[in-house]
Amino acid sequence: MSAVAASVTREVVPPQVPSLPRWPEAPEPVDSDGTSFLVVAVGGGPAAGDVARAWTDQAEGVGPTTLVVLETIDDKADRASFETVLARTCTGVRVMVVGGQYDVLQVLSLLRRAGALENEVRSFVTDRTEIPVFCAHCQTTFRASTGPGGLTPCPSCRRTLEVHEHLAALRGSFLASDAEATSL
Amino acid sequence: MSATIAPVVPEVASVPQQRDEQYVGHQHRGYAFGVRHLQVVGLTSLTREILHVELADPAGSPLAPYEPGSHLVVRAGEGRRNAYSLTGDGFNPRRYEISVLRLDSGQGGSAWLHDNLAVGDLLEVEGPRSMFPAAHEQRHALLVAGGIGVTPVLSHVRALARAGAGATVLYSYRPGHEAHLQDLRELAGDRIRLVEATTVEETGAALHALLAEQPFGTHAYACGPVAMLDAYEEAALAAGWPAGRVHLERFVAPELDPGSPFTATVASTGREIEVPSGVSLLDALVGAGVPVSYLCRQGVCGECRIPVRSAEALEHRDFVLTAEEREAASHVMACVSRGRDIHLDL
Ligand code: FES
Repeated sequence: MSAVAASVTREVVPPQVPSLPRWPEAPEPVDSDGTSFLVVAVGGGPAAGDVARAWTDQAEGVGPTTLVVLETIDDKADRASFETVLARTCTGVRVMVVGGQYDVLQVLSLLRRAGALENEVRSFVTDRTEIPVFCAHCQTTFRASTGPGGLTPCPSCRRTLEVHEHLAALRGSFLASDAEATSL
Repeated sequence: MSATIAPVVPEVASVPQQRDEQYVGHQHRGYAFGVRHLQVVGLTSLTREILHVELADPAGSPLAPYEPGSHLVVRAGEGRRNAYSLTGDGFNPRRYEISVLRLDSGQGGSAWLHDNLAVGDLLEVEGPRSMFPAAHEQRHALLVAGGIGVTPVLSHVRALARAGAGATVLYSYRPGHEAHLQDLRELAGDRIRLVEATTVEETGAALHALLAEQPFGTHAYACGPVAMLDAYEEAALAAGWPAGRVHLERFVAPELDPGSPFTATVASTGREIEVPSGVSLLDALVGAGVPVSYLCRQGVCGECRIPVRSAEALEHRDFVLTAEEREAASHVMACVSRGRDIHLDL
């Protein structure tokens, strides 16, 4: 038997490992190895404001600190002001993000795309009701009040989507696909 | 309605046999990394002690491309193999170019190349190998070169210039010994900034200043003498850079203490080999006739990596293994590292 046939017949589907965000129970302390700090509060209600203030107070004791308060990262002006501040920061900075799950995941995605390393960023979520969902069919990312395993309509292609236990960290969204695609 | 999809298992006879071709896909004849001979096609003295060597395929074929920061292993006289950084950008090269600093204190390889190479000669090489690559997620690069450490830095700068990417380059040299300075000056422009330093103080000050002002997402790379690399690591730490952004390549490793004697066991044969103080595990193994390949003997190149089954204690003294690999205690770099009661998976 050829090597190719052997590998085809012996193929095993690996167990599906969920990839889900693991949020800390309480806000982590400021990383004092940093030389400057950027605190981002985005949505998340008054609790997010409290965390951002505590982080800012702590960070100011270590180095120059910038606080950015945004309503939502979906707002054009809010997003532009975040990107302007980020473009001005230098390597050595530590970024702390707090807010609602949807906005925090989207901000983390922007940070990753800007080349952030895992240990340069800390995040905390004060409200988990919404998640970013990525439609595998029309490639739209949208805000939905659901969770992994849940169903939600795609606002763009109108399919009924099933949200999978798969967060794409770089996109900052959960993968979702047509819930009815398996029945013919 | 729902349908079940049955897996389709191809019949054995219908599966095409994998063709045993020598050149797969678009790879050309010169696409090789193993031990082979290249022809010396150019020799230039860059300074009194630095010889620039250009190598090409004897049949005129293009050479295998390489990642910027790669090195080529060169046979430099009887029983001596040295690794030299390639200075090109690595993109479809027709030539491999290295710059060899004559080290009279070394074990003779560089002096041999200086004294013996002539245009037209065939030189045994192996590689290129990539041990100092660019981080794929970098948004900007800070490149630091000290002395002959300019060679891999030049390779990175050339690759970044080709890609239209940005870089800040610090070149620290002693006047009169400035290999490739002109090449770097020609590459400098809008996106590539060159800073020159000619004293230890200037270099230190430039390191601090540059590390403090790099845009978010920058990765730093340095190659040069030990003292400069130490200053670079210290300055990066002081500027708040996480270790994951601070890369370096050493060409001379720091002095090591002789260490205590220990026993190493070759798992396949059960043979026990005594390693006295002042003798490396590598030398003890080679002396006992156990075949182990090696190059730098300084814990830098990664050639002498040996899998470990178990060990009482491992004292890693190399610059190759990552923190996770050290913790896993699954490998040892035989040329520098020691331990107690090491069972080698050989
Ligand atoms: S021979 Fe180079 S790391 Fe050991």
